[in-house]
Amino acid sequence: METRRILIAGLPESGKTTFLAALWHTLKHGKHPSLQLARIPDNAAYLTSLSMQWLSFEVVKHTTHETKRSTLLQVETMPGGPTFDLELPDLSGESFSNGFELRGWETHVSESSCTSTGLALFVGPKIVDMMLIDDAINIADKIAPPIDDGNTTHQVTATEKPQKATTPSKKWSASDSPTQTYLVDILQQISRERPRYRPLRVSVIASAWDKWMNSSLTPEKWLERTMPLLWQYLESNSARFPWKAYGVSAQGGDYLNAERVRQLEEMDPCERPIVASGTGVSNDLALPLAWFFE
Amino acid sequence: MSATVPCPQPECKAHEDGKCIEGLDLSTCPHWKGRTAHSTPDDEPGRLEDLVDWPSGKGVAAEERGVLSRARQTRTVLVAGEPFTGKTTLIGALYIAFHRGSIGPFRFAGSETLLGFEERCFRARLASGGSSAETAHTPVKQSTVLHLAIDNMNTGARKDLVLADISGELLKEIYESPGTARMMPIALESERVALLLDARRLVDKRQRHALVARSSQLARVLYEKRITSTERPLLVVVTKCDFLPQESAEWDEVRNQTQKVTEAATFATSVFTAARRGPGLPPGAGFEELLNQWTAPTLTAPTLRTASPARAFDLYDARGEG
Repeated sequence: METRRILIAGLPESGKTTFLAALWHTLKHGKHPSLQLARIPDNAAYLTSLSMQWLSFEVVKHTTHETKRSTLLQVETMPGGPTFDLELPDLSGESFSNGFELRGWETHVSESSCTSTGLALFVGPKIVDMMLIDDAINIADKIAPPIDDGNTTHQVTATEKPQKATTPSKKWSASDSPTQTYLVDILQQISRERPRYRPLRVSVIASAWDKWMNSSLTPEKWLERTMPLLWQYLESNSARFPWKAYGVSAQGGDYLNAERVRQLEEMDPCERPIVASGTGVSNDLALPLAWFFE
Repeated sequence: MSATVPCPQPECKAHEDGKCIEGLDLSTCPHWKGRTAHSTPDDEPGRLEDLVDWPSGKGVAAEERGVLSRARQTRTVLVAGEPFTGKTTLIGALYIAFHRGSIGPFRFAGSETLLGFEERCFRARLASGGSSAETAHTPVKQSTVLHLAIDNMNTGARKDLVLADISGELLKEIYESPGTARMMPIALESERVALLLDARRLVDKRQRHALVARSSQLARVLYEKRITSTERPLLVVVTKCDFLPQESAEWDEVRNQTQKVTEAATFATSVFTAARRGPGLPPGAGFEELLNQWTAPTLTAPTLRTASPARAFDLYDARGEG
C-alpha cells in the first residue's frame, strides 16, 4: 500500500491541531466526498481525545514542543478505489517558529519535510505585520492632523532638518519578524532540504476563516492581500511548490460568540466546519488534502 | 543518538560549560531556547536532540559572497554612495515594498538573507521603540551582501541579485586609492553599479559642490577601471526625493547637479527615488525603474537620461500613487 505523508506546518496556534480533531471526527463519519476512511486505525486514542474536545466546544489544546504525535490513517479517494496510508505528523508550531528564530529544527521535522508528498501550511488568525513608523505617523496624522491656524503656515523645505527622533529602544531579534517572513523562510528551508526534481504540493490553509468570510474575498485573493510576500513567493516558485489556497474554520465559528455557539450546538457536528475553495463553500475538511492524492 | 548542539550566538560555549555568554539563565535565554533537553516518549529524558541547521539568514560577508552563487546564477549590484546617503534605507525599502505587493511586474521570489533584511528594516518598524524611521548605518568592518531573488511576471525571467551593501568609508578608498582599495574585487565583478546621491545634500549650497566633485571622481574611476561601460552604464540614483516639495525650485537644482555627475560618468542613466513619506515623491517612487535597470539582460544604448522631476510627478500621479 502506498504511503502519502502530509507535512502539517504552521506557527503556534495556527489551527493545525483543531483541524486534525475535526478531520478525524468527520472522516470517521464518512462525510467527506473527497476522502474516505478505509478502516479505523489500531491506535486512535490521540485523535479521539482531540475530537472529544472539539465536539464539546472546547478550544483544542495545541501540540506542545514536547509532544510528538504521528497519525497513520488508511484512506481511499473513492469508495472501493485504491487505498493509501495517510500519515499526518502533528508537529508543534514551536518546531517551525524555532526553526526560523534559532536557525535549526529537529531531525524528525527535517525528515518530514523531505519525505512528504503534500504540505498543509496553516496561516492562523494572529498575523503579525510589524507596522512601520511612517505608517503609524501617517495614521496618527489622519486621525489628528497638524493644526493650521492660518497665520503660521509652514513651508517644508528640502534642507530642513527633521525633528530629533527617539532612538530605537529595543534590540532586534529574529522574533521581531512579520508572520509572512517566517512562513516564506520555512518554505525556503523545505525547498533546500528536498531534491529539486521533487515538487511539493502546498495547500495554504487560512484558519478561522469565519473571521474573513464577510470580506467576500476568495482564499487566494485573501492571501494576496494579507500576505503579499508569501503570495509572491508561492507564485514565483509554483513549479517547485504547486499551490492552492483554502479558507478553513474547523470550529465553525468563534467560541466567544454565544449566538454562534448556540447555532453550532444545534447542528450535526460534521456540518460545523467551513471550507472555502475558490468561490465555493462546503463542509469537506479533507478537500485541502485530497489533491495530494491526484 | 544524542548530540551537543552549540548555541547560535557567536563565541557562546553554553553547550560545553552551561554558561550563557550574556549571563542569562539558560532557561530564559532566547538564543538557547529550543536547544534545551526535551523529554519525549521515544527519547531518554534530559538529552539534547539532533538539530538540522538552517543557513544563518543574515547578510553574508562580502568576501564570502561565493556561497550565494553556488546554486544559482547571481548578478552582483554594487550600491555605492557616501555615508548617510541612504544605501541601507534604499535596500531595506525595496524589501519592505515587497511586503506590500509586487513592484510593477517584479515579484519577490526568495531570499537567502531574510534575517539580514529584517535586521536592517527593524529601526523603521514601530516595534523598535523608535519614533522616526531610520536604518542602521553600515559600519566599515561589516560590509555585507544581501540576496534578493525576483521574477518578472511579464517575461517569466528570474534574477538573483546580490546587493553589495558596503560602507561609505570603504567606497571612499575606491575613488581615492583605486589601486589598493579593499573593496575593489567586488567592485570589479559587479555587473551593475548604482551610485547614490542624497537629494537634500544636492540642494544644500555648502555641500553640493563637494558632493558632486567627489561623486564625479568616483564615476570617472568606475569608468576608467571598466567597471562601468557602454553595456553597463552607471545608474545614478538620487535618494530622499520624498523630502523635495513638489514643483519647488529645488528640483531644478537637483536635476542640474545630477546631470553633472552623469556627464562625468560618460555612460549613465539616472533615477529619482523615495523610500519614505514626505512632501515630495511618494514612497516606492523609482523602485520599478531601479529593478528594471538591475535585471535587464543588456542595457539600452547609452544615454544621458535625466528624468524631469515634473514628468516624474506626472508618472506617479497617473498611477494613483501620489
